[in-house]
Amino acid sequence: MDDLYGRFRRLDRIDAPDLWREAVGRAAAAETTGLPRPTQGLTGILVVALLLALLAGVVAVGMSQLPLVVGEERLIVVSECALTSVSLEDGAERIILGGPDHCIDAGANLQTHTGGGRTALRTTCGACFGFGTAGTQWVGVVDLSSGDARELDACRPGEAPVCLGDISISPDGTRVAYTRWNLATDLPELVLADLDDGERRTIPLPVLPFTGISWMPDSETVIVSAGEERAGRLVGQLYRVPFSGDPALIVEAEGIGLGPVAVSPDGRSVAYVTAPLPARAEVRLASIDGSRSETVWQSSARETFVGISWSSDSARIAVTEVPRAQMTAPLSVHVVDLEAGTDATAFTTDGVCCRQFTVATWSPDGRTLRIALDLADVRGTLAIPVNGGGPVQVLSEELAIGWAPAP
Amino acid sequence: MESMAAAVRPAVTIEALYREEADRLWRALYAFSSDAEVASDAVAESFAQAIRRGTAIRDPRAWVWKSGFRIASGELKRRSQSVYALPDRSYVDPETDTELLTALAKLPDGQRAAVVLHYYADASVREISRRTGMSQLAVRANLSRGRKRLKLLLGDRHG
Repeated sequence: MDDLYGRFRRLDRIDAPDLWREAVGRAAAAETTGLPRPTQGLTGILVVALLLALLAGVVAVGMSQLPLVVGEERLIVVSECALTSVSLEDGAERIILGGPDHCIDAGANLQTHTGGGRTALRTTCGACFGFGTAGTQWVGVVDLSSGDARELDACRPGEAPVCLGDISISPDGTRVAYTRWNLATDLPELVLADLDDGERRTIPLPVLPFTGISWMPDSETVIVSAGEERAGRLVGQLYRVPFSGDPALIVEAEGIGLGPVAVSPDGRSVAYVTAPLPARAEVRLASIDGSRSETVWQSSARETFVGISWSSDSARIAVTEVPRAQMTAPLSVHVVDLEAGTDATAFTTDGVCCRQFTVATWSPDGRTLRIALDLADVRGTLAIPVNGGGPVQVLSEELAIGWAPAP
Repeated sequence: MESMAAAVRPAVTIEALYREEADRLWRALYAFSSDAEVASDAVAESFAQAIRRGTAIRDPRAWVWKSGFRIASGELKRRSQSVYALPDRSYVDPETDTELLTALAKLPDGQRAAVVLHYYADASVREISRRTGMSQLAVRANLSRGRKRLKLLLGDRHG
């Protein structure tokens, strides 16, 4: 036997401290923190709409429309108390962010968005609306090379309650956009921040930020979905907001809310999801100036969450469809080919959907879609061939939340 | 009350796991980090997180090992310790092999984790993969390189 075994055995002579009480104390401290629930200023329809929008985020992991980044394929993975980067070539893993302050609960509500060598993250908002997880809610940016994390905003127990919504980082990684709801003033806001020079703008939103922010390819303008109550009816809206300039309304949809949005990689179009609950969700396509808009996909089921992502050639949209009551029906991924005018189902789970999932995103070459699922018998990240063939599990256990070039 | 019962049950299960695993986990993390404070913080935090997550964790044993190593790795990275401190003597038996711990501290994170888990925790390649999140390919490479480097650092007395 290698004598190294014997030398390691001597470690058993070290007295390990009893840390059980410390662990229980830490767990209890995290459970007892909390924030007040919103009680004022929202009309019934808007409360329902907001809760549905937030619920859509809560049931999923990383509901962001992840951009496609051409380069060596690495997965950004969230798992036990760390954010890591994993190479698909050799499985080599590198911890980007780890430690006791980063035990991100992927099952709660984590959103990430990668661009320009940085990843923007938002951790759970559970405390604000009573979805179970108390504690600090945080939005920030992590440098994928150095692992440096920078906090941009947070709601902490005992401080003015703020709910933080979607976050999106610009394709060049220099700017961030996120939504926040100040529960003290009852005001929703869009925050635009320049990560290099510190410039920061706060723009009031009409009434509701929904679940959509997407940057234009030039990193100068962001598209955001919002909503407004008009004569007792909800009006969904898409805005184009320059980093330095006034917001411009580009799409208005009577009687329905708008969900996720995704600007095409060529910057010419914006895909967005309508959420006319309890009716069927649709994916619509609008020109970037709003001059035309058409429905390109409609759900065959009622009350589903729909996530979207573009292929890098701006020719196809992957649509991830999940029943809102996740354990009642399968998850399916559809590919809408805008040039051919076709819609094909690329993947569906064998049984009912999952405890956690991510929105399917394209590989840089457009041949496969990647999705992370936590099913009854499988937990991991799957690669789904778009042109036929069964899915391949590329990571077991790990839930990948984004793609990035090798830093 | 059902909700209270549900809240208590995972903690009871996790406590049993703590009694079985925590000492070995702490020593492995101590060998990994050369720092008793890092090891203690990682063990306490990983079990605290396990209690909070309760039944959401499918394999609590693998989970606490994995999260423990990741918490320790993150903490070491945060401290920017390219050269790790010597072991905290207050935790070390006079016969403890400080030469080994000092040599371990000179290995890269992945190699150090693979070597500690293999030689101290008797973990197979597959088990190391589960406990660290590294692929089995990466574990094999790290184990092989780490073993060679460690032998060099220890004066090649274990060939």
